[in-house]
Amino acid sequence: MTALLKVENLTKHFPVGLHNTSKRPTWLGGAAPTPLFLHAVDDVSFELEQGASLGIVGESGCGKSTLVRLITRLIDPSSGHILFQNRHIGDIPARIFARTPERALIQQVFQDPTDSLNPRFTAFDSIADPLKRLGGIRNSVTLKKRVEDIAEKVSLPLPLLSRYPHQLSGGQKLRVGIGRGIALNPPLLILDEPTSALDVSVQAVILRLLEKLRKELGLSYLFVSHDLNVVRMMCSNLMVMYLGKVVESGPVEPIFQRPGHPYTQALLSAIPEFGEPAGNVIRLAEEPQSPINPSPHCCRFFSRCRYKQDLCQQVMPHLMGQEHLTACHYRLDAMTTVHPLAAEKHDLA
Amino acid sequence: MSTNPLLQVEDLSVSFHTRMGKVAVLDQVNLDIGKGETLAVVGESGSGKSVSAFAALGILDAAGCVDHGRVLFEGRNLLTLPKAELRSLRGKDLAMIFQNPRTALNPIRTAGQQIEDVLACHADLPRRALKEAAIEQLAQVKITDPARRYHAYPFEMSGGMCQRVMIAVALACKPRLLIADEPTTGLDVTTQMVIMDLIKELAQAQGMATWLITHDLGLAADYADRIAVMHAGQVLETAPGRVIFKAARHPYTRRLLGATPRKQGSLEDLVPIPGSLPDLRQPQPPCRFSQRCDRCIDACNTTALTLQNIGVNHQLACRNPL
Repeated sequence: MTALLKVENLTKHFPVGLHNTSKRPTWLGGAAPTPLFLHAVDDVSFELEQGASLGIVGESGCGKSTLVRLITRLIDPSSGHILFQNRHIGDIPARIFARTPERALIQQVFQDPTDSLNPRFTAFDSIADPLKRLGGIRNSVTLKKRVEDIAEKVSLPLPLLSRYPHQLSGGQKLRVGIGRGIALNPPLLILDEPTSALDVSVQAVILRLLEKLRKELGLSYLFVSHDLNVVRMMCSNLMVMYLGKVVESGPVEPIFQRPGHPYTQALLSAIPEFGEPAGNVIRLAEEPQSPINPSPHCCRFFSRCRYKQDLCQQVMPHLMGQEHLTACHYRLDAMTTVHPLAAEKHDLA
Repeated sequence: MSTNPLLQVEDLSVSFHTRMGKVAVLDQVNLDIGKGETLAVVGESGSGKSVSAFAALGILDAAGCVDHGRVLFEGRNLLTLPKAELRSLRGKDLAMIFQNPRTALNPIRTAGQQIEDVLACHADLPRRALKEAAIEQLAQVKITDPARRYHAYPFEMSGGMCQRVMIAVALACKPRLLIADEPTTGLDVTTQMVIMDLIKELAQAQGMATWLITHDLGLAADYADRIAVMHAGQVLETAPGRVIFKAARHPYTRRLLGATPRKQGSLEDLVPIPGSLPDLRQPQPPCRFSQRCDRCIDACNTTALTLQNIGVNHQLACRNPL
């Protein structure tokens, strides 16, 4: 089976200014200022199969949203390739991409259902917009039929189609957003924290709807979320990001049961667990390192890692392993749940 | 009911006057918080969690009005207190942390200045000592390099850092009661834990009571001594966290638990709550959950509903409990 989406060494560096290394100006013999880059996405590679769902997790500022914007081709990558259905779409400039056929095949459901809907469009207009622009449907009768079909698919009552966003509840607005996303039957739907603005009672309904749509329409999901419990339910594969780098990736269950990277371990231990006393919770000290011109040799997680060694500062760890990949020199071993170094320290004690 | 309450909310009813008529937002809310206790109030958005806290502090929106009830803080009714007296309590004995630290902090004043403002207003400190005290506060909330951060504006700090500054502002005068309104909603799980640990640690060190408002049951379970479940402006059940999760009696509490994603759960285990919050502009039956409830009986819609003690620290408002 060929991958629907293949991302290779994708990198996005944002220029953020210049750094003067010497006090003397250049014309008096001072060194030229070095440009500063914010490494938002750094060397990210992954594959997404048709019909599968991949979860992306990580704290704010780790590059999840930049990655999504690169794949939806709203911004241009600094380097790397994006293959969609075996076609290089990463090389097409973002301005031209809006008019290529692939635009219709990659759709997104945005985080905030209120902000992402046009307040002057009714629910009908919002769902009809992609059909008109990208689907080329001009006939108003066909259009009405298609929009009503879509509303039915996302369980949006038909009388609500004539309402404006402010007349709809959060869950209903999200249904409009999902309806707009699936209007053109895209093979790939990107969900950027779809339920973070909703209550648990509504969230449960929406998650079930998304799962139903994936099975019925054969959609592939790229699911960005804060909520690890939700990712575990919705996704078959998981990718954990930290400061622009993928630190762990693989099938969901092995990662949840035996996290290999210290960051993943901390992330999983931080999920509030109710009914039972919290287990060994790992608290991350300090703030993350700066994403501006980070050292190419030092592990990005170095400053907050419990197991850091000199080697982590000298050689950048790369993703290693079969299927379940981890970017750590001292991978928390899959066989023993104790970290090799922690075990060593324990022996000494 | 705790034996020695610091704050007691008694039969509090609040309504808002809008263009669409009167909206009865709170209906006879009863809550109490003991000295040094942490009470979590959970419920869907629109259930009146924040409004009850705003009403207690007297910072309701101009459209809101308290129809009925008392809020006793150490025996004094906050709702009838003269404005000047209430102002001297707020910020000193009663402090609040707001949901979004970025919008709640003043964007054009530095972190240090905002702490100084509170101290200058309430603490008996000479002007010269203010800066030192503010830096000490920043250090207390574990901000690295507090002397430098004293000069930082909110936009220069991360969300977690802003929340720490807000906690520092709230705790500057060592309040007796801290109201935390969704303190970690916009934050990551790892930062959320650090912030909640900080609040808990400082609360224990200063013997401070905490009124935690959240929609996250997991968070409430981890950090609160007792949990009160609210729905559409009514308190339906209060009990210690363990009891809520193991032996909840109210159908709504069970429903809420069933809709929350669990660590080991699958999508099939997730049961949505049918219906939505009732339209509070219309007259409501005594139990506002009755229209969404599958255990509704005739008595639910006829006789008035009150919280009853049904066990140690366990109160329930239901005619047909589980």
